[in-house]
Amino acid sequence: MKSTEKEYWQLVWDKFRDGDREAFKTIYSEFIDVLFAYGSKITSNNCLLEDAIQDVFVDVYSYGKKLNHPEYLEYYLFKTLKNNIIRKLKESRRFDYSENNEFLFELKFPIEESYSDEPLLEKQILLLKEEIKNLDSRKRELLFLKFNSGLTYTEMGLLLDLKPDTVKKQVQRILKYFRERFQNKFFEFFLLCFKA
Amino acid sequence: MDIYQRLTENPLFFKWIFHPTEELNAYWGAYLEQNPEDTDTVLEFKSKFEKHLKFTNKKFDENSKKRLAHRIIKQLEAVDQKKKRTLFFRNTMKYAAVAILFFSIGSSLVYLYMDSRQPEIVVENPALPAHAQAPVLIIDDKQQIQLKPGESELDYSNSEEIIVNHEELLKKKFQGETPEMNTLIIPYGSRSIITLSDGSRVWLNAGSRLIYPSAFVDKRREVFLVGEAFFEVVKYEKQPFLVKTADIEIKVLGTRFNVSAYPEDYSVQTALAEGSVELSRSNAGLLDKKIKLSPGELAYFNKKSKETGIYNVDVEYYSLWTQGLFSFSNTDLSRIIRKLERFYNIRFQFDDPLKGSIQITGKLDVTKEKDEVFEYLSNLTGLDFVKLNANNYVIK
Repeated sequence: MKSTEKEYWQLVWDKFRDGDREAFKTIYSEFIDVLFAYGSKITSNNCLLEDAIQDVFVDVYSYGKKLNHPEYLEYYLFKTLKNNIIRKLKESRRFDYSENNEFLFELKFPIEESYSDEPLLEKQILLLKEEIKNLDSRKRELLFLKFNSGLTYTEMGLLLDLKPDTVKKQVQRILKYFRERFQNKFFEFFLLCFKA
Repeated sequence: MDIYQRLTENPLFFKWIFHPTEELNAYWGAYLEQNPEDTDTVLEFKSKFEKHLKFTNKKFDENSKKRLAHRIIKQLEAVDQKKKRTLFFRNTMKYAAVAILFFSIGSSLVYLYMDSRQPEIVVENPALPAHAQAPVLIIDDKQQIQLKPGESELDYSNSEEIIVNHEELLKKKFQGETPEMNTLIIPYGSRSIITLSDGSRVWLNAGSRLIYPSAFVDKRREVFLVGEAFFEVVKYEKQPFLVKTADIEIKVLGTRFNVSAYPEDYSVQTALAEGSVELSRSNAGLLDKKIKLSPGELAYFNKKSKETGIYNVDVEYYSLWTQGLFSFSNTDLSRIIRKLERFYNIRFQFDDPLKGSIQITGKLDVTKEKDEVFEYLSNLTGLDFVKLNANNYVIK
């Protein structure tokens, strides 16, 4: 997202926090799809997810948490939603939660079709999808954020609790790995998505 | 920067693929018009990406989206209200402090006023039991039967008659007809024991209302509860028993459990003594999680945050009221006072609200005269229970 756009959202957010309901509607309709898509990859419990989304807005409104300027709105929304969901999952006793903050971040692809017109490409794509499935959940989350959000690598790193350096290294590792396996214009494009 | 780089650097490109909107279509349409040389590449990559690498995102349908937006706006408005109230409270505290300095009576009036603000919901709904003077049984919205104050008993287990307090008999409808719906309203100060047509027993606490049919003819045995009740449900797997409240629903196979769902309380509490029950939110969607309780567990549903917690408790504590006993462990005096208000149908005021936070552990035998009970509490807490008139007390 361009910085002017970020500033624009910052302004809308401030208006929302001052009690402007139109500002809320603007933010909500802009980000609800992305937030829902993101949240539903962390939990499949829609009810919990809706509560978590609600808290993103209601909490900041009731406690008047200060939104620091380096934390831009989109990043703030993602981060708060993720924290809310994880907190709620921890609270619901029945969730079998492992210690290391790992959760399934599954990226599901639509049912496989046959791409008989491009047999070589088809084979490569299947391989690539297999690779994506085998990535750890953090890398899958990174992939999701890259495609669905306008976050910078620094912001993604913060969200994933990784240093920007580590994000860069991890991305380069994925990049190198894929580059060795695939040589095709389409994949070059795909790899560019991960340019650090 | 070549075209690929430009595309990947522009988040709107992926947004266009994953979350297309009319604005985005227009944006990219304009972009392609201005850069005709890129058209083929952009469209080709878009379609390839969509075909091969677009992972599916769970869709949030428009209705749910609107519903959630509406819910959030309501919550925001509630926050606005609270902010105003906090302001009001702060101001009152200031004046109260002044009043205590100069006129001690004045300050207690301020608290009286503040206290009267609390049970707003009760005032809004005149059908709620707290307003009835004596227990009433309403059959099919037509017939109203006044019951004697205090303890009453209703028995529907006989197929032809309803037995009221062991003696009075009311004719039931013939079998085959739609059974009549009964609404039993028990005001503060009274209690009732109901034996339903299937033999299940319900202890209905003060300030509560239970709606139930004279006979269970549907696939499920459904009753609706406002307030508090202890259930002893006869097991009949083919016809599950369902307790509905405004906020949660409890599905039962055969079991003993207590439900406390007073409109003025912040939570709905379900304590299971025996068997198993399944809880879900009222008006729950298909995807909502159900919660199964095991004996000895209490489910605490927070009406405001809509969150549920499960705790291990001494369930006996939650059903003792059916025997005229109140048992408390580290319970706030204010919560106990609230129970006593319901039980005896009286009002208490604290001269200092802080006194309500005194913690109490022990048992109260409320079958005794109320003044005896208050004396006991008075000795326990070191506070004075001063009677103002028949129904009003001040705790000093």
